[in-house]
Amino acid sequence: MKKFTIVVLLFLLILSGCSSDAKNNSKQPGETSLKSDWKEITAEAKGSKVNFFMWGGDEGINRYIDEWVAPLVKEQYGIEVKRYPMDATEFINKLMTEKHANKKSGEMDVLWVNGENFKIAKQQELLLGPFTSKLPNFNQFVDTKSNDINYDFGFPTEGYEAPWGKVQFVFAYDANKISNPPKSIAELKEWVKKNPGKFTYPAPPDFTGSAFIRHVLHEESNDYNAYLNGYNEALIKADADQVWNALNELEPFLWREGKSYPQSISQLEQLYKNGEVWMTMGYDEANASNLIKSGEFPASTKTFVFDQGTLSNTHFLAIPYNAPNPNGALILINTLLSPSAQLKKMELEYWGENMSLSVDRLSEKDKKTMAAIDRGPATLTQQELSSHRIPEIGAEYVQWLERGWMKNVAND
Amino acid sequence: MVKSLKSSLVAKGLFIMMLTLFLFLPFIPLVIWSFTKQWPWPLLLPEKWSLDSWNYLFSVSGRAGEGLLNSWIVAFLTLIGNLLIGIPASRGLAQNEFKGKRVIFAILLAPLFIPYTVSIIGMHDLAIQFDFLNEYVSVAFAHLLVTLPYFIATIWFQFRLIGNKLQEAALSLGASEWKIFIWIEAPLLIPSVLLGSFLVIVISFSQYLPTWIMSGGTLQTIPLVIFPFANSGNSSIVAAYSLLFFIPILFLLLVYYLLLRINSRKQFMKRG
Repeated sequence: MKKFTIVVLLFLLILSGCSSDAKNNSKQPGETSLKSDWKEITAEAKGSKVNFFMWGGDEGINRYIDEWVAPLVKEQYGIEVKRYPMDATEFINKLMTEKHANKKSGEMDVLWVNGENFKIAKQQELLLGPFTSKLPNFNQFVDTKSNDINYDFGFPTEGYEAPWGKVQFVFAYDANKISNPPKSIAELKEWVKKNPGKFTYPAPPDFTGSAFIRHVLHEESNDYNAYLNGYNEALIKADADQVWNALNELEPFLWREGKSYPQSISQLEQLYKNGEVWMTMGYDEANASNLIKSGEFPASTKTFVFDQGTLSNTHFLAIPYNAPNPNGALILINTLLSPSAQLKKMELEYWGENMSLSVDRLSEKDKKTMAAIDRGPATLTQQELSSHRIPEIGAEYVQWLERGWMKNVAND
Repeated sequence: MVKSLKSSLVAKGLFIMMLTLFLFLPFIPLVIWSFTKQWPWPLLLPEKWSLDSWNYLFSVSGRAGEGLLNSWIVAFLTLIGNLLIGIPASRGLAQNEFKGKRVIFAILLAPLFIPYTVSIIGMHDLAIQFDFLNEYVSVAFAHLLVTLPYFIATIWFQFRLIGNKLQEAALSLGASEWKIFIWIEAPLLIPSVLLGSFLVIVISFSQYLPTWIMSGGTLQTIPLVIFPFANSGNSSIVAAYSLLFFIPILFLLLVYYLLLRINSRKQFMKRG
């Protein structure tokens, strides 16, 4: 049996020999790429591989990256883009463990983060550093002064993440059943009383349901703009009662008399598909058009925004502190911010989402292309959407409202 | 006599039919879902059919091929590890008496009883230490930890059944340990090695967390490819992936029975 042990040991030895070459290469630390100019970055990145970690639950978005972006980056810069599907919370956890173990070179180059995770990542120093000023397309096409670029759910971005797209909250309804949809929370109260059981919203802390109750805050609070500054608990405490009153006034007229709420946006959409409720909602203005196209929503579906506006936010791309290929990451993000990539992203064929660039800064040709894009039968015009936008409030307020809803509305 | 034989045959047939139906019933909605985007509740069958999900699966984004290939490579490496470690370990445990045997046995089987999350946390740190290893190897290493108890339990049982008598006879005729293993034990072990290997491959195929942690999510095996869709409410895609997942397992099952049959025929011929 001794021979056997030797064989086993030998085998393990051989295995440990075949370590992957990608990980052993000495990597340029990220700091140098933040100091180099764009030409050096492009030259350095040639022939490298970029790992793009992002949520992977949508066929259209995945196909946009794999079928359109990756071939483009390969052709223009000779860089291979590899997409890895992973939830933001998961890769932020992974990054935290790596930081803890002092791992200098990780696996992730570009991350698609959301506001909450960005805040954690920035506070715990999991990100590379301010990089957006390096990107030619960011400097040329993004409105660098605007609040929705400089703040992510009330938290300052400071160049640590680059804006990838913008979405706006819209309500969807079946035009065969509703002719005049309610355009404010007050009108919604009237409408549910006339049509009991035909409306509901996902229970917070679901992302969509949470956004819905922020619309109530927007219309019921004395001064919504005060929420855009730092967190002040006294402020929200003063407005909270009006919010809970409005929601409790709706409750008996909701689906199942408000005794239970859908737990997620997919459940609410299911109710809408089955015709049990006549309205749905979502933080994506083109979602209804997408679902009409795939045959999941009735073709008579239309969308609307409140007269006083609906929430909109920007989502961003970041680079982790231990990105193995920071130069490639910069190139990829710059490409994603190019007008052609952003215009392609707007088409319903892949994604249908609004661009993060400032329309005023586009060339005449791009403006024309943009005007010609068919964003689907249910999507509102750019004019209608952008004139009805309200900004997001800080993450602390969001969580406060979610907890308060459980206590004052759900358990009441 | 004939009559009762017939009726028992009919009963047997009915029983097998019911059993097959029971086993295959869950697959029917899976197949239907994979060919439609919308199948609302009261409808018996969807109104619109589409190949979209299957097209997606085999597109660049779907990564069906990549996932299958990676799953196979990892399962194969895991199996090699099991054969190299599992067979000597179960032999030692089955044939020898020594102090602390029960403890070692318990340790070897521990992954079966210890809650998954506990061992996973340890694995996380291990993953960072073992960063120099090739992805496939480090993932297979994690799978080895998960599968080894099943393999050892299977082989150990067979070694117990074989007993010590034949080996002692061979030993007294001057055969070396290697010769005993190769000429006496190995042929008798074949059925249980086949079963153990089948288990190892199937368990390795279905691992999500160990794969995720050891590779940092970069080794896309089938479960890792499926997972992003599990929460998205996209039943059609999930159904298509699940069916894809079953194909290699069905294939393995067939291979297993085939090999088992070849083996038993050989044994029979030898004896005859």
